[in-house]
Amino acid sequence: MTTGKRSKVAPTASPARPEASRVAAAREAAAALAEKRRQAELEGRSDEVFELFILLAIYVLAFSVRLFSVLRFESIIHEFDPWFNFRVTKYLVREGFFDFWNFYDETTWYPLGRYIGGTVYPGLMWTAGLLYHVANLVNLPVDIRNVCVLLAPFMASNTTVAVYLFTKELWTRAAAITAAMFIAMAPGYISRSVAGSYDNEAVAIFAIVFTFYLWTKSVRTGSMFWAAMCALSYFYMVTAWGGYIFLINLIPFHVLVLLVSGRYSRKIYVVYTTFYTLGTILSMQVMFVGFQPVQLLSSPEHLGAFGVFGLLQLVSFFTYLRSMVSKEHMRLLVNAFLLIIAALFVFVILLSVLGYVPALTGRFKTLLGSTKNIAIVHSVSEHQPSPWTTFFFDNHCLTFLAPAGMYFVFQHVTDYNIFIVLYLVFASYFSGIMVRLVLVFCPAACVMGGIGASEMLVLFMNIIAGPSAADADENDVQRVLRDAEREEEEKKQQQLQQQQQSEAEDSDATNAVFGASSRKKKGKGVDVQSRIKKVLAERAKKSGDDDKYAAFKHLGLDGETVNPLAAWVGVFVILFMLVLFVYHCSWVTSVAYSSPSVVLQARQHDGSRIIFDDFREAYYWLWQNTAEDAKIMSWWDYGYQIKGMGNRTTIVDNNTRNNTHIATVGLAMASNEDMAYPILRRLDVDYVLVVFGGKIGYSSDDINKFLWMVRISSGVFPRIVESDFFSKDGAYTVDARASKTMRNCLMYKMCYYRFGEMTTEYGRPTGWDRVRHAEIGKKNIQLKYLEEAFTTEHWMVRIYRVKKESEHIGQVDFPKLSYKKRSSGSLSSSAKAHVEAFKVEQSHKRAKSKEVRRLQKERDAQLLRVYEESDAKLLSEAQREAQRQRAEQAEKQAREQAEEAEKQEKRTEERSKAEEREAAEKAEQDAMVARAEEKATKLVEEQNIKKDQAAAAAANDAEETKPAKKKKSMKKGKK
Amino acid sequence: AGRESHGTFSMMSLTSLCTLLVLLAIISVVDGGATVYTPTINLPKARTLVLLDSMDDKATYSKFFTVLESLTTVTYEDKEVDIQKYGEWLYDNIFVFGWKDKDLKTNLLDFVDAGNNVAIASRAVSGDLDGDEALPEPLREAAIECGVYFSDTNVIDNFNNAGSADTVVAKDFVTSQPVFSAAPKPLQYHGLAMTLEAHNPLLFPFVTAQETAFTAPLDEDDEEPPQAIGKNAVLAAGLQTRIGSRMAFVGSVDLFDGKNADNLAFAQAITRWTFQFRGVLRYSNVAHQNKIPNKNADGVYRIRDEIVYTVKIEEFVDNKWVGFKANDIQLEFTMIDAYVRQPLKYDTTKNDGTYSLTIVAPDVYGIYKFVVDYRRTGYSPLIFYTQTTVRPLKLNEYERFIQAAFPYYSGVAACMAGFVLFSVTFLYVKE
Repeated sequence: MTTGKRSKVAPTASPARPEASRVAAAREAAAALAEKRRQAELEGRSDEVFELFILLAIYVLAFSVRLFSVLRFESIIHEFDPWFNFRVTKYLVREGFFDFWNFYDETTWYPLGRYIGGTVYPGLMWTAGLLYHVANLVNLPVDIRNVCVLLAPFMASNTTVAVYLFTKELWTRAAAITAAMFIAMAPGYISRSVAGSYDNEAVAIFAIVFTFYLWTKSVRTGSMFWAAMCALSYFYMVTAWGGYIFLINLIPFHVLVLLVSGRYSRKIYVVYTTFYTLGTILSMQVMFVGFQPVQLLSSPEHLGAFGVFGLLQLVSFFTYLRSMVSKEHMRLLVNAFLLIIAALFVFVILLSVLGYVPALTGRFKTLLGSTKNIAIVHSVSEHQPSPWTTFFFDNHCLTFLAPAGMYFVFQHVTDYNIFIVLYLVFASYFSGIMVRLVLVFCPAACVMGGIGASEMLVLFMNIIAGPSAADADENDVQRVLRDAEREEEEKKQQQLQQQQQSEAEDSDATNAVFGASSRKKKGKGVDVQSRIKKVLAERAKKSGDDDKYAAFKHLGLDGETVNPLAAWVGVFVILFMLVLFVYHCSWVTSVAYSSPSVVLQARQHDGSRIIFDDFREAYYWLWQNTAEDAKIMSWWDYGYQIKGMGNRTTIVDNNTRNNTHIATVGLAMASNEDMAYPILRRLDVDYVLVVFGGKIGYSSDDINKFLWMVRISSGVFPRIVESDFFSKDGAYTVDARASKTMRNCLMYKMCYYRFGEMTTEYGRPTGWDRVRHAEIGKKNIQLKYLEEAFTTEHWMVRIYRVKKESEHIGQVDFPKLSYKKRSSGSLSSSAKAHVEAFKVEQSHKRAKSKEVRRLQKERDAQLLRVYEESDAKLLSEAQREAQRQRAEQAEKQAREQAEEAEKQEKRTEERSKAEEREAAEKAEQDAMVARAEEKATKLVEEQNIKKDQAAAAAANDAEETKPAKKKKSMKKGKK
Repeated sequence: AGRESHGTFSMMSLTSLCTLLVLLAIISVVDGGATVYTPTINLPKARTLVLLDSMDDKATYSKFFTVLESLTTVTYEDKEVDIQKYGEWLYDNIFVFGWKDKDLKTNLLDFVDAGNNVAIASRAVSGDLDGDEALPEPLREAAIECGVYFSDTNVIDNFNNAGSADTVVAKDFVTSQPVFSAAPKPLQYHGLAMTLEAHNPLLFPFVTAQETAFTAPLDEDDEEPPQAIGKNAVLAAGLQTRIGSRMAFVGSVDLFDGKNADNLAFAQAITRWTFQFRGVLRYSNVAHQNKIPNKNADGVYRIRDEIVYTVKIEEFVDNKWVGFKANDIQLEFTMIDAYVRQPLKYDTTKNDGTYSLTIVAPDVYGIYKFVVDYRRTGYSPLIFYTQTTVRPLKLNEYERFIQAAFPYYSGVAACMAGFVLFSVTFLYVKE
């Protein structure tokens, strides 16, 4: 009861109490807590050790849950990009660091080559190489392949620790452990970090979270040291992944938000300027990034960070100025400054209108939600917008635990934990645009979800277990302590500001800019004070051991109304959800995310597994059977694998660095053989490789990707038109409806060559495509410049050899045969076809010319008849017209005479005028009659002339047909 | 038996050696590289198959055959024989000589595709021999595949003839040094004409009729225009394939009968050419290196390096290889497009067919090819390329200090000095 009184007393007493004592109270509490902990340790039960063991378990779990793919298949590098990384890592380990930096690869992007040292984010390879060397140093002879395969799980384990640290920094230790548990299992992250997924993201996520941890730490402490550490971590991130852009925009944005929301302090200035300068200089050491971070006009992605850097300087400068100059001068300065800003803004707008500011890069534009089609960016499935199901699939309960966490964070907003809110908001926006960035969203969701879940559990557990739950107590104290520290800092600043204000009175303008912040701070200060009071009161209550509802009170709820049963239900629901989460994660990991995609598996009807190892079969064939410098052309998806597994030169690969080169390959694929052959020869292509799923129903094959090839190449070569590849009814099909362009293009031919002979499904016709569910439209495909070299067991990969010019010397291929020809006995097939075509053409021509002559004759006759008829008609009409006019005239005359008589009677004065008019009219009518008669006679004459002409023409035609024919045949002969 | 088997063995090894050489030649043509290019035929031990209509012809054309026998090993057949056994060609040359009204199942073009040579000589149309019989269908069709259309009638010329209208005088010869070392004397030609497909760049006429010539009408009722008129009426044509094998088409075997010395000289000239005794080029010793020796140990060039390219080109003249001298052989340095295209310079000091050229690697890195693509009428084509890499500068190969950047260096130095001064002043100088 006494405690209750105290709690009531405390608020009223607090304003009177000096602020220092409140902080001192918090310190006291912390000291008490430390003492308690020491006691516990002495007694042999330590929270920290317990926590450490949990974390260790999570660490192991995070590693082992990612080993499904190794167990199911083997220790193999997955997918596409990892093959490149693996190959380059081997080079790094073999040749050393410096040679790796200078690595110019002449076996990819033939004939351009690729300067790998300068076009790669080397963080991943460095990490793997370092681990390899360390392992070998301590006499662990690990193969580099296994290092690469297991790097992603290893880094995922490290990420759990980073998330733990990050969340601990933001919130409480309980939340940190929960978040670490989440990130260890979240499918969104597992999808990119299973064993064998040796890709940049594996390292980058760790780097992101760790950088964020250091950033929040440095914001909290205001320590230059931590900011420098953060810059170092940022450098690691830059070496690891192009996604560093996210960091270098989010961190400045955080600063900006702090600035706008009036949370600006010198800490921020120190931390951000340290971070930005060091981070930028470090990031420029990565060759692929180079000078981009400072070439602000050519890379607007880096503009934000610089802008905030400049803004901070301005803000601190003005703060300084305000303490130095008088009110009037300050107003003048501010006005001038605003004017300059406005002028600059107009200038920039002008520049961008005039086109001096370059556009954002394609990927970045897509990120901002641009719908403008950049085919090569859009064609990547990772760059598609994510469907909402992805969020649930990849994050499960985090999808709604994260908003709960956000609620709790808003309950206790601080300078540094607002960062996680921003992170979540931005990441969720970007992940909505690109499926690939769900990965970036995942850690944010885990942290938020961890906060949400742990807070709720603490809440309910406090209700159930009572205030003896030390965790809640400790958490509160931790928070209070931090708040107190912050408050102290604020107080100092306030004092400083007050000093400044007393020196120079607040001007209106400065008030507009900075006054708001100081006001807010004041308000905030009160809030913090009251909160500290409350928490301290609660602590007192808890020690009294009878108030079960402290936590609710802490939340501002009235504790008396809460039923413990509700808490039980809450706990149960959360636990159930977490159990479901675990099940979901392991199921998703095992089913969806552990396939290497190099080796495919399917289940048969009897449940047994069937393995499709066609890719490796094909690459192995290439490796064993082709010349070492053979050039393999394929769609860029398979470039890395061909190089990685087959060790052969590729034309294009997954590093989509040269759109024109890729478009050229697309052009070759989309052209017919005759058009494609020069392209193939120009690129020195020896083999063409296509992936075909029609036999086993593998849907991500080249025919399904083909429209993208067409789109990409049509962007560069206008002769490729996408609509040509659709059937008449606008469908993209391979069956009989397919357009001629489609059926004759190289891709179609290579995929379906000899497919027409094959039965794929029982009860279906031959040539049944099991992906498109259609019978192919062209079954007897003949290849002229290519020959089938290899087709894998399930037809998934088909390799064709390109014939050299010297291999078809005899079969000289002419567009036409312009000579009289007879039978075709022992001709080669192509010549035969030509002869046949020639014959058909000739007979067709003959028939046509006959037909034309017949038609001509008919037409002549018809014309003659028509002329005669029409002339006769015209003549009679003209005569009739003349008669009619005469009759009319007579009638008119009679009528007019009658009228005249009347007029004469009635209006004698107008007589003379009327007479004149009549005379004129009469003359006109006479003239008309004369004209009509003249016309009639003319027509008669014309008709006669025409008749003569027609007759002459007919005669002429009859005569001329012979010479014309002769001339024609002469021409033929000459040719 | 031991001897026999030994003999067989040596024969087999010889043939396989030949095949190997042929293969090597093909590979070297296709791949470029530094291997020695050997012509497709095993000179001078060539094996020639002459397909005669009847063995009587052997006597009729004995003058010509004597010359042929002096060049190669000749086998005469009056019926079709196997030209391939166990996948190997038994002959290097085939001469279808006045093959009259017979079938031919052998695919001559496969034979040519494999690097061998074929000559086809038709008979002239005479009283009992109409066009179809003078040159049977399969041969006509083989010719058509190469873009050669034989006429059905003899060529006649009412103005430029030797006595009768169907013995035309032809004097428009191809100007090609390897085919005719000196300008041949006018021919007296009696036989079919042919027209050539304009789209086939491999074909060229040895000799054409004069402007006033034309092919005779089939019969009196024939209203069709002549199949070949004027200079389009080609009397003998050659085909030079991309791998070096050759074909000849002649409209009349009468050229070979030896009655007219000029005709015989012409016939011998084109036979020599067709069976690759003349106009055959080979290359060897393709090499390229940095102008500064041992500059780049890694075997690739840097951008802007000076590269010396050398190659030895020889011609087969009178049964031996001598240096081939020309000033129009171009070297291209290409990456998709040619970045450098310059004529190779003949090394007059060595004077053994060695050419060299120093080029500067472009300022664009990539995988380049040294391409020599030399095709001249009458010469076997020289097409070979060597792949090499031009890499960008390594990080330590850039200039440390650029002159143009000295203002910036001084700026940085000034800034650093200023900072130190400021720090010292700020920290230690008290007002």
